[in-house]
Amino acid sequence: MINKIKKGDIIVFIGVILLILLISVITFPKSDGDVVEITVNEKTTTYSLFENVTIETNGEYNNVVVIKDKKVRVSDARCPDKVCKNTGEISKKGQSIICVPEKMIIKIKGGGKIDGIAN
Amino acid sequence: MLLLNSCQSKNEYTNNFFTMDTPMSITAYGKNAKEGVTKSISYINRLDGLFSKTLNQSEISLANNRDGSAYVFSETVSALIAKSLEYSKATDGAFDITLGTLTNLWDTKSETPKIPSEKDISDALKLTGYKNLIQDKTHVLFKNALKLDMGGVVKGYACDGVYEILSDYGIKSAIVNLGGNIYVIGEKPDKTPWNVGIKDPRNDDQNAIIGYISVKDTSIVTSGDYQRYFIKDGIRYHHIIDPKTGSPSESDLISATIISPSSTMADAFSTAVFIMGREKGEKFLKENNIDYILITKSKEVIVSENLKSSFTFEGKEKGYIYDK
Repeated sequence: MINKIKKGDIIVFIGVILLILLISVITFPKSDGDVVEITVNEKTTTYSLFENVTIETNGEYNNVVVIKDKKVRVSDARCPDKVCKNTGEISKKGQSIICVPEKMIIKIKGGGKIDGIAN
Repeated sequence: MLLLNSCQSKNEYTNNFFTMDTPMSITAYGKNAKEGVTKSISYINRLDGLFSKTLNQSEISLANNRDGSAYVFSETVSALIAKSLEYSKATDGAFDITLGTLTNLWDTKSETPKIPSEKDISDALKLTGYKNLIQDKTHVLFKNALKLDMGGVVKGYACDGVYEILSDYGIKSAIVNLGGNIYVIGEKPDKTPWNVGIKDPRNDDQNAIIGYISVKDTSIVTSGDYQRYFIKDGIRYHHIIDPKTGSPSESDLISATIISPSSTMADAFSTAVFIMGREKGEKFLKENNIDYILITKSKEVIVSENLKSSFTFEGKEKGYIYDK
């Protein structure tokens, strides 16, 4: 009975499993907390929290956003109130940096412990 | 399992946008989430077009530049004026939509804010007062040259409207954040309550909180001296004008949060209670059976009895005091 499973069957079986794993690695969405969304003037661009990148926001004041070492901050604020820069670094799911003059919302995607802040 | 999760999250729709000079965000869950949120945004834009003080062609601007002493408003604007007058009476004038001349004078939004002279303030004070507005349905009679500023109530009104729209679209789970005025609809999709943080009024970090409340089907609105302000010679000049003095309120509160299913009321009363101060404010809220979280200048956090079990305090390391 055991001999009915041939060597070829096992190879095909392992092959199928490997293929499924490969497909799921490629297509499986990144987890929420790894994605940084930057919205300026209604236009949203997404970045990975794992990349090291410097972004000019191209709004009215063209602020500079830096993603580095899994943290996001506004490194240079040319807007009048600098509230965005003063917020400092964010790194957790659901955290955000908002700049009203620049009409900019930076958000680390996903639900953290806090769903919103009354303000 | 993994596939199932990703299917569920497809029913989530979020939009971040700027209207009424403030950041807004709506996240809704359910089949009609996208339609509901899109409809809500056009509704908010319509309200901005009616109530804005900065848009020249808004109904409020047109009424403020009226010829003569009467103005006929649209039904939407009249309804909110009527409600606002009720709130003014209830709070003995601590909430007042007739302070337009004063809020223009104290332009805390300006890049180079100035402290107005005492004479300018006393002159502007003469052009205020909710009792100088006489309303008969959509017809309003202005007894002096006052200007309306409905900024203290319009975001709350918009929150209530968005709640209605999303409910009409059959949405049972959503969080609406209109410039810090929050409305939570139902529970989160995982059937737990929403956690809404209360902003730390003495920390520039926008994500800093003194604690949070776990709630469902209600709105949470905060008025504080930290939202728009400038500091000159060590004095903090913020945007909440006391209708009695014509200057930024000098009560013993630095933050007043109201929790109520009526966001319009929560918006108006958070301003009023901030101005009334702790003693008068707490008495007023208790009499009207309204939930609240107040923060005093000495960093004491006061939570209404009813709300204590859903409040989690996280402000100890930041110097706040909370005595259960």
